[in-house]
Amino acid sequence: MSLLTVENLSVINSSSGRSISILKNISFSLNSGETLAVIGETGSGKSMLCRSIIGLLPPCFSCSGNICYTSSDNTKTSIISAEESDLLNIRGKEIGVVFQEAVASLNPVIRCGKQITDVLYVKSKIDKNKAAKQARKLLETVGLSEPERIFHAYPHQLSGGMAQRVALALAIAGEPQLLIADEPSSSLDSISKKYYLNLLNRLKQENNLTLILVTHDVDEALSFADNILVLYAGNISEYGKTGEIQKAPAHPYTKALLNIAHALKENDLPTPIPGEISSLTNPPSGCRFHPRCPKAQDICRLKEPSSIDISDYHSVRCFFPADTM
Amino acid sequence: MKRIVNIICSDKSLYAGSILIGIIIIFSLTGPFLSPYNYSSQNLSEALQSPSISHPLGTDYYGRDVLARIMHGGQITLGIALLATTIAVLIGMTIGLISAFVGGWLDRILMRLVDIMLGFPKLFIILLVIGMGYSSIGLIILFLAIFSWMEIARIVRSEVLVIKEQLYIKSAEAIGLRRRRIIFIHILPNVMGTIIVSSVLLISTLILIESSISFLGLGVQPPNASWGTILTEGRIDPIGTWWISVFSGIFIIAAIIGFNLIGDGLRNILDPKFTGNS
Amino acid sequence: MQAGTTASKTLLEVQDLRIVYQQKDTFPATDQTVHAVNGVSFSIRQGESFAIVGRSGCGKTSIAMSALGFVKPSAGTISFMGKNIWQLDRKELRRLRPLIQPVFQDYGNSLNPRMTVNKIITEALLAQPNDQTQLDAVIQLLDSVGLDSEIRWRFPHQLSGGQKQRINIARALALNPKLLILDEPVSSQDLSAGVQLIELLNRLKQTYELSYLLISHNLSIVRLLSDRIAIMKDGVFIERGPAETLLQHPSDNYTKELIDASNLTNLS
Ligand SMILES: Nc1ncnc2c1ncn2[C@@H]1O[C@H](COP(=O)(O)OP(=O)(O)O)[C@@H](O)[C@H]1O
Ligand code: SF4
Ligand SMILES: [Mg+2]
Repeated sequence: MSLLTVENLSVINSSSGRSISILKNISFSLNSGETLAVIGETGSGKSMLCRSIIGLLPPCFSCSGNICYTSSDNTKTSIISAEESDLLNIRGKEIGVVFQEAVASLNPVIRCGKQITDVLYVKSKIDKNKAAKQARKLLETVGLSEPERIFHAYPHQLSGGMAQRVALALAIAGEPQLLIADEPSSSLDSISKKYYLNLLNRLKQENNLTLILVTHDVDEALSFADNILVLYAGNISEYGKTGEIQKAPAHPYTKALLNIAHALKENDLPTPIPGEISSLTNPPSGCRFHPRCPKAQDICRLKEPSSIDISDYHSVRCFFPADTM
Repeated sequence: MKRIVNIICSDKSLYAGSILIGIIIIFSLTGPFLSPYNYSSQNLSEALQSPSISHPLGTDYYGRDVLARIMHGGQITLGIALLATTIAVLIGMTIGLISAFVGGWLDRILMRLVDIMLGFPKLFIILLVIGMGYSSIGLIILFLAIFSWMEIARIVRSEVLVIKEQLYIKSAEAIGLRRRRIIFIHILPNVMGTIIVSSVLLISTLILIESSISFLGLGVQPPNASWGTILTEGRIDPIGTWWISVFSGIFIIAAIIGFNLIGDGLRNILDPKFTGNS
Repeated sequence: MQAGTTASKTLLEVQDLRIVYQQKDTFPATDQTVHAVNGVSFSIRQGESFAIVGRSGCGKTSIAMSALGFVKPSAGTISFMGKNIWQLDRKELRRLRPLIQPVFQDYGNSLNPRMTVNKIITEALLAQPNDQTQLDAVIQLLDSVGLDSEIRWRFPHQLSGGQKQRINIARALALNPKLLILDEPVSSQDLSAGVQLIELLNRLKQTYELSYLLISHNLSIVRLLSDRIAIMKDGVFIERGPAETLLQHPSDNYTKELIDASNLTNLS
């Protein structure tokens, strides 16, 4: 059953007087219980995608297309056209989010325990004592070894890894079906990262969570997700089942990313992708990847490639995709 | 110049505030030259006229033109507020910088001084001294300045303490730059935004305080008049001679709102991410 | 790539370094002492790259800050080219400082937001006597870190993460340093930008005969950049050795755990 369907989502920022396309023609769907990894470089629009899904784009950003979310009672909501009051019911209770800057997303002047208690109190309408008890349990659930101390601590007294967990506890307090985690591991050291990903895995199984994991770590996506969506400069380069993409990446960008990840693992010196990610304010003509692409031809400069289906669950946006089978 | 105009236009409250304050300043500075009346020349035969063509804002008990008085009052009120703010900012900035940089016991002493000064019943002291008969515009400016540098000092100190720990300051130290250069080139410009915003807000506070003192009759003394002085002149019969208080009151409020708008606007604009773009 | 021959001389020598922080909290009033570094010794020879690896909070950055002259050690000595940097007076320290340059993880924050790239680098150039004209020098430095000269008119917030980090490196190079202290230089970078930086750092090390003190939690990065590695935990080194040997045959369990964690295939 499809929990979230995104069709032709485009986001435009018009704050600086002219319109800048932040996301263009994004389509994907996510079934209940699945994990989708969104990978891409900084500034490729990953966070903006997350914010669109919960209807929390900053002002001066406009959204077009369709985002359809199916709630647990089977009602469908179109996030883009929904009223703010409906969105309030969906955020937290149906869709939980852990933002990229976990520490910054916690209120610095309220003790961690109280922040979680407040959410429980508002979202589940249970009395304060019960909520406090449940908040402690949540801190335990997210693997914090001293829940009592954390309960009374202010966010700045926590390490990055702890704050990340508190933010997670906050996100799952309303028992959402869908959890969006925006680069949860980028700020963590490798051991904390592994613990954190294991934790996400456990929560996913225990609570039957559907997960959108945003990351720029290819390894993390490969080992964790059912589907992968590769974002480059606001466009989907490639989207499909993890296995297929890992075995036969069709887009030159995906291929380069996988090569780097593979080389790092094998202790080799990887070949980086030349150049920088293209800017969204002055995007290159045609295929946005062409200035960095080893396979670029004249047509790539002139025309934007459209999405080609390689198999039922694998599509790529490139004029010259690698042979897949 | 064009750049300044661009910056002003890019923020609504800054735009509105600048226009408001611009009008008030031009009005106060050029008005007295254009007006046929002098702010202090009395003409008892024309006393207490309500607004008319020849006296757009009416006349007061001595037959003085209220419009001319308000124009003159603007110079006094704004002049006092601006000068006092400048002095307060200079004192506050110096003390804040010293406190943050030297640290230790000097910091503790200076901050204790700030606490004490903040706890002082300043209005009471001002009233006491002025009530004893030592009133002059210079004295008022001095008093206002002495009692309002503390907020600036605190803000500067806490900002500097934060910026001092930023990595770009560490990098500057690692380059081997001298302390003086680090303070004036790296730290101060990054505190300047906050200082400018707080000083603009301080101007509006001081306008209010000066007006209150003058309203109580203890501030600016005749023949000079500030807006507060004019306001108080309509006090005797607030209904019958409404124009005296209402028009001066409008100017006080407009100036306060104007400076607050500018302050809010500057707060948004002085973010380095903003100025860099324009 | 074993650089440490006996012929090259010792650049940085750290002996029994201890760093203690007093952590004061006004409310509730607590006065904690945090022992960040508990007796660490190592030395870096000219042209060598030494890495300290450990989880965040184990004391790595404290060592770096101390070697840069920012955090006073509570015990032990740090000598650079034979001089104990914590016994120099202010003037001597200022003369020594250009030779040890930091490149921080928080690459954005280490550039003054109100200065253009040109100003940032020129300022560093001016701190050193220089025979080139400034403009040439700036362009040449930008070129040596692989950046286009056009970039010098931009402000830091107009740069990407990788570009900012390159500017940090260019500024450091402007001072003709002998030792770069790289504190998580690529950890918050994208995969490709990170790899580009590693290549750059390896190349610069050769051309400018630099030595590196590298600090990181990421073993896949460390192994590409360093000759010797020390594993740090709770303020002490628990294992050390040549990079390849240590990573292939770790003897300590903690080292094994770190190596294991950088490999995500076996999530439980
Ligand atoms: N609050 C904002 N105002 C204006 N532009 C923004 C804002 N947040 C992000 N952007 C822009 O949107 C684009 C996508 O950013 P983001 O979604 O954060 O990328 P990622 O998550 O991949 O790092 C970038 O060009 C970024 O500059
Ligand atoms: S369309 Fe052309 S430039 Fe774009 S990814 Fe494919 S081959 Fe490269
Ligand atoms: Mg992001």
